[in-house]
Amino acid sequence: MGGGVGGGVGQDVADTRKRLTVTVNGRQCSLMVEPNRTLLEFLREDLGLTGAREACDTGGCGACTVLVDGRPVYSCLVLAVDCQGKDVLTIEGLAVDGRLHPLQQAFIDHGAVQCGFCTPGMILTAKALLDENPAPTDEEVREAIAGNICRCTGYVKIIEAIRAAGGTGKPACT
Amino acid sequence: MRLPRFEYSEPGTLEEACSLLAQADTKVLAGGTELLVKLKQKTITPRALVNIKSIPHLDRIEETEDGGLSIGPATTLHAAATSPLVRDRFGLVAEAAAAVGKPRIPYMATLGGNLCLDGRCFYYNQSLLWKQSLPPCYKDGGHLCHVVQGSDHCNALFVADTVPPLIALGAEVTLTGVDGETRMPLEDFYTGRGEEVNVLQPGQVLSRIRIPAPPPYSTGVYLKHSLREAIDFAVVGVALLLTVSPEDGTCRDARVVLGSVATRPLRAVAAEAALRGKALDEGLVRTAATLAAKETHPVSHLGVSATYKRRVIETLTKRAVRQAWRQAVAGSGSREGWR
Ligand SMILES: Cc1cc2nc3c(=O)[nH]c(=O)nc-3n(C[C@H](O)[C@H](O)[C@H](O)COP(=O)(O)OP(=O)(O)OC[C@H]3O[C@@H](n4cnc5c(N)ncnc54)[C@H](O)[C@@H]3O)c2cc1C
Ligand code: FES
Ligand code: FES
Repeated sequence: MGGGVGGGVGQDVADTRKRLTVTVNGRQCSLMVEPNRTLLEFLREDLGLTGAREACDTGGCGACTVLVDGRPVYSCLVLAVDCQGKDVLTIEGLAVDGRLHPLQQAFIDHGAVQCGFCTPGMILTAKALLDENPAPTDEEVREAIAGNICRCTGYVKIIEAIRAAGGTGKPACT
Repeated sequence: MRLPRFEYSEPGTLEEACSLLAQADTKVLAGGTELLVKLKQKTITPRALVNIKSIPHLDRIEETEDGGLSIGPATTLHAAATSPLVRDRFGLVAEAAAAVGKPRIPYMATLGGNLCLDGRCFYYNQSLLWKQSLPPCYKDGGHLCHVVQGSDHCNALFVADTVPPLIALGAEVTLTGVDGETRMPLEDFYTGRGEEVNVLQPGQVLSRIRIPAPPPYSTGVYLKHSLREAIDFAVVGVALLLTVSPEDGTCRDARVVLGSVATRPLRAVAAEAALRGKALDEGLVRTAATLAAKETHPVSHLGVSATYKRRVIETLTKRAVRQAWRQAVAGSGSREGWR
């Protein structure tokens, strides 16, 4: 896709796009986007960052979670143009120089990834939690990820991985 | 699901916003967590959206001279829930704000958006495609209600969590339009009609929320019951503001406001009257709770029966009165009174 024309098939020729300048994964980009484009569509289709997933598309599952100015949000319910000047972090921006983020490594070590559909949203939610509270309890982890649904793992391994990355959990079985 | 096309603007002032909103078929965009879902589902397809978050200072929380709070409508629910100004003296509002679509929605949604939330119904909040299999209901301009067969009106529920606590506290709202400002008690902002939930007119913005200082010796509670703890609307929400007499611990005043049981936020006036002027004891708690359940007329809807709702109202009211009473006795209520 690309080009930024979401939705309408109208024949109107007027250019209704707005210039959006936003920092994504540490890099500033400036693109013309249609106002009716969600942040999720902008990331996936205009920037090719497909780590944020589309599932329910109505704010009920967390698969599309990204961090905007450090806060986890559902990118399916945010307009791209509403992120003017903001700092967006997606799962693609987490590893540094090919080295996985401790949370990513912990998810692998603890077997917290099965189909992987929920994983980017889970990890970013966990990052926001650990940034605010580096040593969360089980309860605090559960509360933080309550907005992210996983159909596969049953959550236990995800919670273990997040606590391990935070340094308060059990080490992974070897 | 793609969003339909719309014109989009980011006004710099409230006046500019109002003149944009006075044009046909234009809606306020705040946090977007309700509006954008409705747009995706094509429940509504406005011509234009006006993003009020671009207006400076509309997200401020300030103490007023009379000891109350003045809150801008674009304040996020997260900011409201974590602000010491709200938490310390209006804890019930903070609790309710944090409970809206917990845990993620509060980062995105605004307090003003919660106050302006439309009535909700399983049959209305669906995609256009889904709805094509049924005749339109009252809220979609039709002549029937799918929830209550034979009903002569829309039964969409009023579910916004922050409203019962704000009404219990006697909050007021300011509506600003092209013709000037109107101030009214929040309670009067709601029509009781599922089809059109509030009195907002085209061209108007809910521009300010004012909460008066809580009465001396008062404590407040908001309790929400939902089927899931996270990302879920209330089956019932109960807000209570209880004022006790410091001399003998009797109840001076009580305001009980229920959410998710009717087409509007509902004062449980019989329960309030039963509590007022009485010595608080367990018998009174039970009486008030039974009255609160009896004076409401919830409708059965999607596995949540009216009987179940009544029981939840009774249980939550009991818990709320006990909790407020305990807090009052422990002196942790409104600081004006207890210190
Ligand atoms: C997954 C999910 C779970 C949810 N759970 C809950 C819940 O538990 N409890 C609950 O109460 N709600 C819930 N909601 C509904 C909604 O998220 C909240 O009510 C939220 O507070 C709406 O605020 P907003 O800023 O996002 O409003 P928006 O979506 O931006 O606007 C909502 C409506 O109000 C109008 N509006 C907004 N601000 C103003 C203003 N200042 N003046 C005039 N009109 C205005 C808009 O035009 C629109 O019609 C949930 C939504 C989702 C998607
Ligand atoms: S896709 Fe955004 S919350 Fe489900
Ligand atoms: S791993 Fe499959 S949904 Fe979570």
